[in-house]
Amino acid sequence: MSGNSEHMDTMQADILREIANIGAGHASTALSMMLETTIEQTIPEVSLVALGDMMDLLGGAERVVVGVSVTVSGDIEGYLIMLLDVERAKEMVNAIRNQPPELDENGEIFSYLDRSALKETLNIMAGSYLTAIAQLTNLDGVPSPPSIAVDMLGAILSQPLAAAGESSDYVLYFKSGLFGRTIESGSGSDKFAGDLLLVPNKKSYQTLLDSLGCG
Amino acid sequence: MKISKPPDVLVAMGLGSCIGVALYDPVTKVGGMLHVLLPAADAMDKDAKRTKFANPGIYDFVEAMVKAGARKTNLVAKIAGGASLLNNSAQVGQRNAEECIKVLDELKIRIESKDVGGESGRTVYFDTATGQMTVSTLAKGKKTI
Repeated sequence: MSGNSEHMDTMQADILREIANIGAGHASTALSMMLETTIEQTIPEVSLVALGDMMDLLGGAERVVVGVSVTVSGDIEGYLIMLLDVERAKEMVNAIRNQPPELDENGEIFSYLDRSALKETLNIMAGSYLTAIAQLTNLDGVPSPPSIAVDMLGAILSQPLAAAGESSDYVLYFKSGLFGRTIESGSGSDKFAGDLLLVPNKKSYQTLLDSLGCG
Repeated sequence: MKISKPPDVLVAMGLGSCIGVALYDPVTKVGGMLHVLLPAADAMDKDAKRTKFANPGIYDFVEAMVKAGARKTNLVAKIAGGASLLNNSAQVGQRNAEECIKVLDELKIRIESKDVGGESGRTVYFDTATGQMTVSTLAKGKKTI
């Protein structure tokens, strides 16, 4: 995978998917322990897409989401982002704080403590995700403190995309869907919890492949 | 980059740190919008898409506007975007806005109005019939600049 290639071969895709699988697996276990509920993950998607196509693949640039993100630095550089629909984020806050989200003094959907709870959730998941990758590849990735925004998907992803797009017109992302068993009703039906995205910069995905002898 | 004529309205959805740069020739009514992702193309691959950068993207944009029938001396600009949503980022939004303003200044294109910075995502509409830009945010609704 060199230069501006928009393709990756099947072997590379499989390896990257396995990295995402292990990372997100550990992250969902951490979430599951924190929420004391069963969290299942989908088979991760690993995609190399044109910068302009990414929003459409994630539901459109104007989709309103709660985005929590950390930057990752070290051998692996990029962003790790949790995307939740607003209703799902409310459920998650409810599950963590045992009380529904409160409006803050500015009329925002989530209070300071609600936001803090969501940030802490990603903080724990990011630690697990990156530790799992480090154990597999010997590459370290250190998460920054999280930040959170409730806004249009395009707006939330534009900084991570800018970072990924600095040296490439294509962005590689790892997407894992996380599903929680119904939290409050306990009816056993699956509820969609959200997506976990890892967007390494271009240099870092080459590093990831090299570390597994697959550059 | 999109260039058009009335009655078309050009849209850039969900801008965060990105900037929507609109250029307009009020005489010929040729209007266009460029979606800027990054400030300047220092570290770019040789064959990277030029139009994702303020520099050289805006230069290419002006050339394309002239090709589409606009007169360079008539052109005026409106810009919106460059927010900082996630505080753990490298101020891309601010650098984008600064670079857009710098390049437009170098090209001697007057910026009629701008709505940059802040912490909210924007969807930007540019009406080629009137030269008006409408900026829509989740928190504050729509305003025309």
